[in-house]
Amino acid sequence: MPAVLIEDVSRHFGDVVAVNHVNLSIERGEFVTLLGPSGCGKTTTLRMVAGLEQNTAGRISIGDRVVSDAAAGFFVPPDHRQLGMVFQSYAIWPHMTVFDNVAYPLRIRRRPKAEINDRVHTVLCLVEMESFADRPAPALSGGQQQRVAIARALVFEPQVLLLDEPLSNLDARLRTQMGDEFRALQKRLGITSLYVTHDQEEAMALSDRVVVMQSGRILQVGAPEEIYQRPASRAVAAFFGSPNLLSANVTACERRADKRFALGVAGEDWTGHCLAGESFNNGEPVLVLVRPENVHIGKDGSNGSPMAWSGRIKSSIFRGPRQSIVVDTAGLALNVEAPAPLSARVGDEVHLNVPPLAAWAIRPDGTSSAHVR
Amino acid sequence: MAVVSSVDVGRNSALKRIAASALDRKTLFLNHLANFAIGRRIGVLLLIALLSFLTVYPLAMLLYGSLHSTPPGMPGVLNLDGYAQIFTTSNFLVLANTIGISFAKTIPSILLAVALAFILARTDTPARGTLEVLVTLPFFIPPILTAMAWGMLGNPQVGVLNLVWKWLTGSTTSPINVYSYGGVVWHMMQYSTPFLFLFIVDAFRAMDPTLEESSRMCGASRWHTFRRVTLILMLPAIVSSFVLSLMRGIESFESPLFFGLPAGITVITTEIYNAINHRATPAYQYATALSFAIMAFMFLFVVWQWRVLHGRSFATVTGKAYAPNVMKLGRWRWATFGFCILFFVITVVLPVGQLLIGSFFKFFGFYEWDMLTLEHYVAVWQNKEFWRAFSNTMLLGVMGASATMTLGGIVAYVTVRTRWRGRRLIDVLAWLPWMMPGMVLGVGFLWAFAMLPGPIPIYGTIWALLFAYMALGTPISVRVMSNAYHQLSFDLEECSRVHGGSWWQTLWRILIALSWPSFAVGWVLTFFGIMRELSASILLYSVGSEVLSVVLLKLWSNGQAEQVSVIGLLMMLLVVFFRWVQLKLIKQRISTL
Repeated sequence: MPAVLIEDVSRHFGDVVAVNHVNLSIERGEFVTLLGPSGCGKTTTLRMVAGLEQNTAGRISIGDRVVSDAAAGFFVPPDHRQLGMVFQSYAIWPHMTVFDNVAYPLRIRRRPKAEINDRVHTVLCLVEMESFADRPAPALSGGQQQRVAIARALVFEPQVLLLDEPLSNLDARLRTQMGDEFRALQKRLGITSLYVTHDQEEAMALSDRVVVMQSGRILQVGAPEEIYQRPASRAVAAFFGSPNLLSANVTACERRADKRFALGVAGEDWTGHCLAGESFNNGEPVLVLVRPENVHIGKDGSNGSPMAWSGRIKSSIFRGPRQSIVVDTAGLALNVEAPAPLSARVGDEVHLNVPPLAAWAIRPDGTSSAHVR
Repeated sequence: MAVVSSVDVGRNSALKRIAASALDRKTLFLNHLANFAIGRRIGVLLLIALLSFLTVYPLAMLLYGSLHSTPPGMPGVLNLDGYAQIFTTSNFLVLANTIGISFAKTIPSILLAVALAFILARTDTPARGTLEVLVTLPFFIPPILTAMAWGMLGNPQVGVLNLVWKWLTGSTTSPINVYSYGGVVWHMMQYSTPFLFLFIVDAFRAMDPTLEESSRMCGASRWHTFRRVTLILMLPAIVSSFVLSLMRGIESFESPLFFGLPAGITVITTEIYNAINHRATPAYQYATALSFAIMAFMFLFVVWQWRVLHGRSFATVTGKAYAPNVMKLGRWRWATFGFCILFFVITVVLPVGQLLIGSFFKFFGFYEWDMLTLEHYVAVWQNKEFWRAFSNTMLLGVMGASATMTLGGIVAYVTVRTRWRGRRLIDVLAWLPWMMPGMVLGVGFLWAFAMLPGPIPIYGTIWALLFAYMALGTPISVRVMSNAYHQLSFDLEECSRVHGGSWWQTLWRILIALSWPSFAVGWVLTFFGIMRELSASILLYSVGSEVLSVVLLKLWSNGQAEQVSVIGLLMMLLVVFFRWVQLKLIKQRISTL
C-alpha cells in the first residue's frame, strides 16, 4: 500500500486552475520531489496533502486512510493527519525555546513528560542540536532554525514528512551540506518524504523519484537519471540546464532488448544514432537532445562518431571546474560543457562530436520551435 | 510508479474504506467541529450584532434624535426644526472658529513634530532614547489635567507665569492670558505635537537608508536628498497625520471648554455641550442635529484623507529593522538636545509643577510660606465623591480596556487572518467610531440608551459609559491588533495545525501567545483613553457613575482648584506608572520578536 496516494486531484482558485488532475503514488520510505517553476502547482499540491488547502476535485489518502475526498465532501483537517512539515520560512515559533518548539507536537498530543524529554533529546541529537535545547528560538542562525524545524517535524514519527522548499533560504554552501545531511537522515530513518523545490540540482541530488510539474500538471515522473537523460518531452528536457535540441528526421528505427528504440537520424548537414523511448516511422521529425556535457570538443577531427561538427568558438565562460562554450557551426549554435581549462579561445576552429547513444530523441511538440537557428 | 488510471474504481474503493473505518467517521465528526461551519457563522453574526450596537445603533439614533422634537424618552413629533436651527450666523462663526483653531494648532504642531522626529530619529543628539520618552509623555496625560494646570499658570490675575514676569520686570501688566484664542491653540498644540510625533517618527525611522544613499551616489547633495527623497517619502505619513490632527482638533473638547468658553469663544463641541447642559431647557433636538451635521462634516475629512493617501502609500515601512543614517551634528547636538528638553519642560514640568505647588498652598494664587498646608490632601482623602469616581474610573478602565482589546483582537483576527464571509462588514463597523467625536458619540448613546426597550436600564448606569468607551476605543484596538497579526507569518499558524494543534490550540498557543505584548500595549493605550475621556462621559454620567474627569471638572467649576491639583497629581502618578509598564513591555517583548 502506498504511503500517500493522490488520485485525480485538482485545485481551483476561482477561475484559475492551480493543480490540474494530478495523480501520484508515493511508496513507504520513498523520497519524492515535486519540481517545477514557481506557480506550477507544486506547493499547492503539497499543501493539499498537508490539509492546509482543500482540493476541489479528486481524492487524497495517507496510509490506509482517505484524508480528503472532494466528491464525498470529506476533509480531514491538518491536525488529524499525523504529518510532519518543514516550511520554507521554517516557522520556528519565536516565543519558545528550541526545546519547546520541538516538544510542541508531543505536548499537543499530551504525552507524558518523561517521554517528551526523551524523544526531544533523541531527535535533537539526530540533527546535532542537542546543545541548543534551551536557546530562545530567535537566537538561531538560518541553518540552525532549519535543523530545529526538521527535528520538530520528525519528533512524533509522522507517517509522512512534507518539506516546502526548506533549503531555499540558505546560502549556497550550506544548502548543499544541509541537503546531503537530510538525505542521509531520511535514508537512515526510512521516512516517507514529499519535497517541493524549484532547484533542479537539489531535486536530482536528493530524490528517489522526481515529479516534474508545469502549469498545474505533471509532465513526467521518474528517477533523477531517467528524467535527466531520458526526458519524455521537450519541456522536461529544457527544464534541466541548457540542452541542445536538434531538429532531425528519422532514417531508421529498431527495437532494442531494453524496450528502448535505436534510431538513425539525419539533420540538415549531419547524421547520427540516438535512443528513444517510443517507436518512430521513417521520415518522422524528431528533436534530438544532446546534453552539453556529452559533446566532446577537440582541435583534431573525428574519432569515428558520425555525429560530428566543426565550427568556431563564439563565447566561452569560465566556471571553475568546467567551461561553458558556445560553438558556431554552419547551421547550429551548440552549447558545450568542457572540463576546464581549455586551451582553445574565442574564434578558434574546433571539432565537436557526440559519442554514439549519448543522444536521446523526443517527439517535437507542435507549439514550440526547436532551439536551432 | 503507480498512477491510478481509472478514477471510478478508485472512488468505489474509497467509499468502501470510509464505510469500513469507524476512525474515519470519528474524524468526519471532528472535521465538522473543526470547520465549525455553523459555529463560525453564529460567531460572525454575534460579532456583527455587537459592533452594530456599539456603532450603527447610536448613529441611527443620532439621526432619529435630530428629527425628534422633544428630549429622549418623551413623546414628540418628527420635524426638521433641529436642522433649521443650525443654520444661523452665530453657528457660522462657531464653525469658522472650530476649523480656524484646528488649522492654527495643526500647522505649528506638525512643524514641531517633524523637527522633533528628525532630531530624535536621524541625528546624533545625546540621550535620544530618554528624550523620546519625555517628549511623548504629554500625549498620555489627560488633557483636562494640563488644561487646569495652564488655567492656573496663565491666569491673567494670579497665574504663576504672570507673577514671575511682574516680579522680574517690575511691570504691573500681565502679558499672558490663556483665556483666549491663543490659549486654546496653545493647549491643543501640547497634545497634537507628541501625537503627530508618534505618527511621523516611525516613518523616519523605518526608512530604508539605501534610498537616501543611492540619491547621494547619484550626485545629489545632502540638502537636495533631504528635500527630494527623504521628505517626499515621508509625505504620505505627514499628510495623513496632518488630516488626522485636523480631525482631532475639530473633535477637541477640553481646550475650548477651559480656555474658549470663559472668553466667549465657542466651537462645535462646546456648542453641543452648552445646548444640552447649560441652557434652561436642554435643546436636545438642536444639539443632536448639530452632532449629526458635524459627523457628516467629519466624513468629508475622511474622504479627503482617503483621496490624499490613495495610491501614495510608499512602502518605505517594510517591517525590516533598518539602522537609519544618523546625521552628525557636532556641537549643535547640544542645541537640539536643549530644544527637546525645553519642549518637555513646557509641556510637562510646568503644568505638573503647578499642580504640585497648587496642592500644597492654602489658596491658589497666594504663594506665601505660612500658607503651606496638607489640608487639600486630607479633604480629597475624605471626599466620598472622589473615591467613588476613582473606583468607577479604575473599574471602567480595567473592564473597558479588557473588553475593547478583546473585541479589537477578535475583529482584527477575522479581518486580517481569515477569509470568512462578512469580514469586510465587520471591518467597516469597527472603524465607524473613527469619525465620531466623543461628544457626538455621547449624544448618540444618550438617544440610544433612552430608546432601548424598558427592561434594559443602561442609561444612568456605569454600563452606559462602558459601551461608549468601547465604541470610542475599538478603532484603535483593531489597529493595534491587526498590526500585531500582520507581523506574524501564516506559516507559524499552519505549522502548528500540521503538527497536530487544533484551531483553538493554535489560536491560544501560537497567535495569542505571540501577540499578547501588543495586546498589553494596546490595553494600556485604551486605559489611558478611558482615563482621559471627558466629552462622552460628561453627557452619559449620572450620580453614582461619575468618573475622575467629570469630578475634576465639577470641582474646577466650583472653584476648588486646590483639590483639583491633588487629584491631578494622583492621575499623573497613574499615567507615569502605566506608561512605564507599557514602555517596559515594548522594549522587552516586542523588540525581540
